[in-house]
Amino acid sequence: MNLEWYWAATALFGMSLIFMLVGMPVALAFCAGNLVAAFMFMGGANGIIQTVNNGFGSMTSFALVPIPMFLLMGELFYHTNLATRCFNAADKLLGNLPGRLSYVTLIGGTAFAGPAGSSMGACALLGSLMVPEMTKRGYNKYLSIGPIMGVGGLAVIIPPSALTVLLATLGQTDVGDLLIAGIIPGFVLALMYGVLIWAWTRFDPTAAPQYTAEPVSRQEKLRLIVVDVLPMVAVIAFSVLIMLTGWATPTEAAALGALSVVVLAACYGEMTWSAWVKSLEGALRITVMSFLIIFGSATFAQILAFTGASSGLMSWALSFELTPMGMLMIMLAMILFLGCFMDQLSMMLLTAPIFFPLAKTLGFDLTWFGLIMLLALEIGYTTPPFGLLLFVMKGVAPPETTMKDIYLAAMPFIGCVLLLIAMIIVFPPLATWLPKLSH
Amino acid sequence: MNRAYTWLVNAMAWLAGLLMAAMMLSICIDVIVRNLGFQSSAHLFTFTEYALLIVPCLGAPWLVREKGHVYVEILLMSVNESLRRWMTFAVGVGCVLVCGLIAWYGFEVTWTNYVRADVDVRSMDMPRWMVVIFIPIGFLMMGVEFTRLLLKGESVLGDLSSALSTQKTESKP
Repeated sequence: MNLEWYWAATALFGMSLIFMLVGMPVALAFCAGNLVAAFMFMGGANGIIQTVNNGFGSMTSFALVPIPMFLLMGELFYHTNLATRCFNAADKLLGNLPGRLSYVTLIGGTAFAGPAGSSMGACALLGSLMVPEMTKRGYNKYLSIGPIMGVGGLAVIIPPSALTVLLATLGQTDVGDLLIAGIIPGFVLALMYGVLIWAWTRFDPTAAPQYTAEPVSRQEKLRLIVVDVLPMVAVIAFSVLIMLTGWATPTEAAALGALSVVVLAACYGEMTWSAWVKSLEGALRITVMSFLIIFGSATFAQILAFTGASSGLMSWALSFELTPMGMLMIMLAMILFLGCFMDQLSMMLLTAPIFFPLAKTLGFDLTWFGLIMLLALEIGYTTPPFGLLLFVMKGVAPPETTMKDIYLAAMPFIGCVLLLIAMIIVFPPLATWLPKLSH
Repeated sequence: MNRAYTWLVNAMAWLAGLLMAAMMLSICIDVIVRNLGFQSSAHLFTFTEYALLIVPCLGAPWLVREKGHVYVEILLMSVNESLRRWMTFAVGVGCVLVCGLIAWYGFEVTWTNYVRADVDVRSMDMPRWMVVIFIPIGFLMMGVEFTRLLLKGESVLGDLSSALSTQKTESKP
């Protein structure tokens, strides 16, 4: 069928969106939108055959291997109780620091959410675990709910992160570079969060009432650091470092990382059969879902190109003759908008096939752009009024928590991520220096 | 029959899990062997790539039964109970259709590949149909699982919390 590109674009985006909005599982909604579009634009049944063939090609791509591996690593961390060990150790080590539970939430949350790079599970877990505890201790809602909403921004950029791998693959940019690019901004963001909590407790000590934590002897503290914290940090640092030095590819780093968690857990005597089964199950869940979406998305990008929709959309966007910065802002705004009703995976799949080529045309460094996009995806997820994570939080927080509480609590942490994005835009080496160094 | 089928779906999920563990090990072995100065087998690499397709296809029917798929619930949440039930039913029917279509054409692709003896050239010449066939099998069984849920009068979608908290589920594959 010969159609103007804008009809093709509307049909493609529109159908996938409608299927999603009526509640069709995201993976199948993508497949459905593609099937209809393939049928319309690629010659009827042949189009569908093409969809299957494309799916085969894009799913058997080696660049995607880190996804199941990072997911497995994350689940192993969780089900072998290694993440809990870190969490408890942080709790004890922080002593009587004002706002200690907020810091504990941040550190623990990053440990839980890190490898998957997705904050939904961590938000649900921490929301039900930490918020009641903090409320009991008299913490105000900003310091109890806020850090949980902030964890995601941290988890998505600090490697290992499965989501990063997917974005790099979709944007056809270097997976290793994008993973490494997140390291420095990740630390900067963690620092900002830390300062935020510190300043808050300083100016308003009642926000996080002091309570005397169980005293921990120096010897015990040393033991906690050596036994419970250092090995976990070493495993993560190991998988990042071998990638950074170019000794291993991201795929190998991911697999070795997962294996080292297995070995470590075995050393603690935590590598039980049931932990194995649960970890594999958890990783399988997300892997199946992600790859079904990838199956649908392979054709999505192709139809976009085939019908002239991608080039049409691009020249249309460029016809406004905005500055590259203006374009970047519009792209960010679109992600924020989509974040109102979708998860990051779906947002990525809808936007990446258009945004990355556009970024390339505008002369952006793709690693730099990818990192900004990752952060924006996370903010879109947490932005009032409809950010998905806000509703997850509402679902697990104590019943008296109102939606407004959650909005207000999330604000300062979203502010930090926005500030980080601004910093990366103004000072690109923040994102690009380390990947360049590793070459 | 029903039992045997449930068993099959479970067995496939187990196999998918095992494959994932095998992927991890094979990549690690590859790295270690290479660093010991030996030539490692390029077939390991190919195996991993194929596993990427086979794992989701084997696990897909199980995920449907577990109602583990994420979906956008903003509209479903804002309509009344009876409309929601209708929409969920319609979504279920839609899912069956999508799976059925992909399965049908997937078998056609597989058959064409078989008849033409197409090979997928990677580290070895793999008959393409042997790998492609997992796509129609996976989608066909997904469709069957959706149908089973519909026939039982159950919603094909999980409740919000179960779809979200991947880490809190205790059920075994």
